[in-house]
Amino acid sequence: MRRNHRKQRGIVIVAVCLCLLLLMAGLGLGIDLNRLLVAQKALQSTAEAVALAAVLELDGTPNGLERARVRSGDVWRRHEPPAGSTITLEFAASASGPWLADPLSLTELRAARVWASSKMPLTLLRGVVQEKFLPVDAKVRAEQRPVERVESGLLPVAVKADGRLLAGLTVAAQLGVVRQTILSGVPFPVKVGDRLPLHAERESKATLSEIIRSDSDPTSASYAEYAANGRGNGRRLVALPIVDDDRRVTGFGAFLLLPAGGTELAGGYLAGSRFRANAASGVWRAEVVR
Amino acid sequence: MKRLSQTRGSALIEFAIALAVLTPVFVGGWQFFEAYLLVEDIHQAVIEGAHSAASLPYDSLTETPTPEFRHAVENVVLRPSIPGLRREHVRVSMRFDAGRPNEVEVRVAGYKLGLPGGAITLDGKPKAQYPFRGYWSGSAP
Repeated sequence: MRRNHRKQRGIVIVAVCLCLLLLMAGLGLGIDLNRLLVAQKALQSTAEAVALAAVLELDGTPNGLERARVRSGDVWRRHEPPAGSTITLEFAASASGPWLADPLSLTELRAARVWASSKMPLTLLRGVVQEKFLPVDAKVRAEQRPVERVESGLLPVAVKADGRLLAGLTVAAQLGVVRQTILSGVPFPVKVGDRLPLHAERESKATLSEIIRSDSDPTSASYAEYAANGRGNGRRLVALPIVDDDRRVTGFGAFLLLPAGGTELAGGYLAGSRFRANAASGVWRAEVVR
Repeated sequence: MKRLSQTRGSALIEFAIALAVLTPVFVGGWQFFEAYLLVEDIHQAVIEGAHSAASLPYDSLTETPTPEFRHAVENVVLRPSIPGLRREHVRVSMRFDAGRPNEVEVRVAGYKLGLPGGAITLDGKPKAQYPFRGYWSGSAP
């Protein structure tokens, strides 16, 4: 009996130590797994930013491809990935591939794929898995996608099929309102088939000149010259609806506002880019493919 | 018999000591775990806010966003699942390159996160940056 009691003494301490050990191990596992998830999410976010940056520069020219590589590299570095992280950038005509690091044909190039990989140092799990690092990967595809309707921010100006400008697309015809709407964009969505209210042409022309002057390249006389110079900030390259005689929208395009008046169709409008989309017309957006 | 009651007493004391040690460890661990989950939630909110900011029309000619733009982004970041996160904790900035909006950044600053033994302030992190891909319709200041 005495021997039994002696044996029982200290059993609680042993049990407590075991419980503590289990708790600490569980906590360590939780912390390391959480850090792994955080690192994965950060790498995924970085890869998305890199892919979008590349897609925003693709305009079907060798310059566009070079800009895509440079800009995606800049974005990667600015996100400060952990030491030893690597990235692979590939291009394709669409998000379904085939993917090439050095594509030969640029005419249909609208998508980019990014493979990012990194190693996360382990702290508390190191003793369990006997590894100092765990690999973290992210694979992202992004592409230029056509937009069915422009939600807001569109210039209140339309172009007829013959290239003539129809200005003052707004719900109110007061001159001050037209000017403000030209500068800040119409507050309502516009889509193909909509019939547009067009007013106050004189005021609109004056305000369009204001937009041309706010471009860092206000003088290039054509889009080819504007793109070759590469110093414009894109203020003059605007998305405009193309309308028929009934002022009904038949499509959209990226138009360069010309210093002498009028516009030139540059191609598809890519939101957020200072160059055209890699398309003949339409409004396009850079999107991550999920 | 006397020895048995002594054993019972010491077992009670040992159990009380064990409880006193294990309870704070368990509660502290749980609070750390909850804090991690909260930071994860904030990170997700910031990522969604930055995604949204990158595709909203940007209506300023400078790197300083208009209050309307900031509020629209803040509305995406703020959510009931993150207690105490207010508008003033959400920082929205636009970086210009070649004279135009290039990259939007959303981050959390000045948010106090309660932890066992005190609070830490999230300052500048979590953050998310995305290339701007919306319409630029800035009006002159």
